[in-house]
Amino acid sequence: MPGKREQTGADGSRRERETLPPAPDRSRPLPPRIGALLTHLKRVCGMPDYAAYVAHLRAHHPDRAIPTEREFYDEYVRTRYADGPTRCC
Amino acid sequence: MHPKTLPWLILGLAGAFAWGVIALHRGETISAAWLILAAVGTYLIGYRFYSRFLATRVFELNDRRATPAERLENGRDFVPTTRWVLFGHHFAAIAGAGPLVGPVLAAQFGYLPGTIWIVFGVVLAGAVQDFIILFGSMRRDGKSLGQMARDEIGPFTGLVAMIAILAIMIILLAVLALVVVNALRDSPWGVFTIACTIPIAMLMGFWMRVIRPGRTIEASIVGVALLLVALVAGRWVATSPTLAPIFTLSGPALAGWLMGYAFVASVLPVWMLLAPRDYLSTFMKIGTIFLLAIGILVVLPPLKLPALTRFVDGTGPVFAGKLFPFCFITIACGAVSGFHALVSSGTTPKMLRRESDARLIGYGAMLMESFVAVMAMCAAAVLDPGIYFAVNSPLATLGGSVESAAVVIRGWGFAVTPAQMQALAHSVGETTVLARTGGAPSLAIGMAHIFSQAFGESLTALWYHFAILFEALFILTTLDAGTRVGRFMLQDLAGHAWAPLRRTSWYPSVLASSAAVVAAWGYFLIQGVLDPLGGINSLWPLFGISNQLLAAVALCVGTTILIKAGKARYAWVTLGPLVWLLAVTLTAGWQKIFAADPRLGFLSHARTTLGQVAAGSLDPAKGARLVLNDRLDAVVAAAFMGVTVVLVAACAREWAMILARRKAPVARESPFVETAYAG
Repeated sequence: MPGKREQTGADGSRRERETLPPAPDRSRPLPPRIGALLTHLKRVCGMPDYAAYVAHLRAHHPDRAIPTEREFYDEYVRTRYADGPTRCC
Repeated sequence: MHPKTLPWLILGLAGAFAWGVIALHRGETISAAWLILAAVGTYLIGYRFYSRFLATRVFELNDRRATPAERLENGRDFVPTTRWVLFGHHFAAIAGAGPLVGPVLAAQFGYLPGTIWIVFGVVLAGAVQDFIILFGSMRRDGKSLGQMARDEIGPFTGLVAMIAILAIMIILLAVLALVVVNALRDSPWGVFTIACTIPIAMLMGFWMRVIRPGRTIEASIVGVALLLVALVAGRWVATSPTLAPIFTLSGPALAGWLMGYAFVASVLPVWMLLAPRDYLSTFMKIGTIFLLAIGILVVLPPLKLPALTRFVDGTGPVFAGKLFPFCFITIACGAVSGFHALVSSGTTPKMLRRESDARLIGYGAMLMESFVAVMAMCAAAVLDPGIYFAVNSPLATLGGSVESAAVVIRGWGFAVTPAQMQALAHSVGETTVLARTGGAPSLAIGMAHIFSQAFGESLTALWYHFAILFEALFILTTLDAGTRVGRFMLQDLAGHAWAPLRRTSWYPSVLASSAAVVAAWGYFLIQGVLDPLGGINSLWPLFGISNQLLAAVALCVGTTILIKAGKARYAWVTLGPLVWLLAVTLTAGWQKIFAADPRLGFLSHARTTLGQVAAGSLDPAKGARLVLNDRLDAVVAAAFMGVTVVLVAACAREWAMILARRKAPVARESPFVETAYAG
């Protein structure tokens, strides 16, 4: 496992990331019901859900690089408030 | 009889009985319980029967058809979502200040007219609009209202709809900002608490992005906790002789601060202020609405406001105009709100897991919003009528002191004493609550009244400021988000003229268009702040008219969708509300422009003002400004009406061509794809 966490490869971090272990499942340290509840709460509030995005990428686009949580967060909030009104008065 | 019909029959009878109690107890005080029972009974019947008819017969929702969330799933905005979670998401997106403030203002007619409109308007119009736009967008890969107008009716209509949306945003932002100014004017406690939301939100922003990326819930909980600390600290600031003057701001000063805030916030990166603020206000909103529901259900307060007041004749101090059409303009959100069409064609259609879920989410969430409006009506009606009018009437009507106000209000037939007014102001931690127009303060007083009965008497001032904080918090979020959206729209429109203006990351264009949007709503805000009649008088009807006209646009798009889908025989489900809304808004618009009463008509008010200047009783510079504002308001109202008539005519022409078979009814739906989900 330590070898896989090596980030200083010569051919860029993008490839390295793909070989990293799966993103930690946020709900795992918590009892599953509380984890599910938090996921629901995030969706109710329109918050980004990184774990779901990573799961989607792994299932449907295994060839694509997985962004870091911060990259995903930036992109998510930037596009969310750009499309039009997200909330009513 | 089918056994499942029985509970619905009982509910229907309970609702009908409650309406009967309300009808028969005129002139007596009744409990809020009857209003709530009548509303809920009507909603359940409407949901069970009318929305089912819409879902199965009119829209023919088909669970074998894959939704955009399934076909275009990307793990981000297109995400299949469990229906109750999506219900919460959609409700949190549509509920806001509108359904809370409108009913409070309309309470000047008494609680009955507003409540009837809120309850029946939503079942027959508002929820239908939200549902059909959600349905249309769901069948079109989650397209927005503007895109649907362009695709289904034509590029000209699309452009007109977009300009209309931008104009409505401007008026909306101005009127919401005015509500905040009126609530926070000369209130150091309120100003301090609201000012604290800015550093709190920025701290949350850094937490969620830099310190612990993605931990949004955790950061929000910390944010809410800090907010409550700021709320308590506000009392201390308000009583401190050194700090209180710093946070005591006049109306014009607050307006300046709000404009500056909105400009800076709207050009900052989203993660820094807007996103965390949005989460904070969503948490507060859901929490407060939940508390209000519990409070009302626990206390079941008696309604002290009469069912009908003498002001149905149009002489009311809160806003001018008769019951028809102004009750239906004042309560926009809660009964039918055009703004919801933008939200129903925004994030929600991209998250529907199954077509049939659209019924609960499109129709059901709007019923819930209507229920919030009924609760707001209850919160206004628990106040003594004298208090209600003292808080909501403009200073020019009441005179400068609690003594003069008491005399004026007694003249209207409602009892209130100066001592009562002072005691109330003291109990909510303010120096005065006289003429705090805009609805938010009287709602906060009503909520504080209910909360302190439900959860303890000693905390009235804290509850009042909690309610003010909750309203101001999401109005400020709307100012930021709305200015940003307005900027994108303006950049998009300006991009037609010169392409570089469209680049959303080109700073000269960003700064110029943000400044233009802030200047536009800021102009109306300052006009409202300086208005001797308090501004809400002229601006709220303008907002109501624009919002209802947007609803008319949405219903036009909805009717077009139905006719193109070969469902012309069911077109009455949208045409009925459309005709009603056109009657209401065009009448109201006409009266606001041309009515002979200077309190109501912009043009006659301008004439009266010119007369006063000529007679020497008004400063010419001030008079010129008032006249300019009146004429501008008249032009805005006329423009809204003109745009709507053009849009309706364009749609009617399209419908006539299709029905006369001169044009093929081609709906631009995405093709059918069978779902891969089980059962």
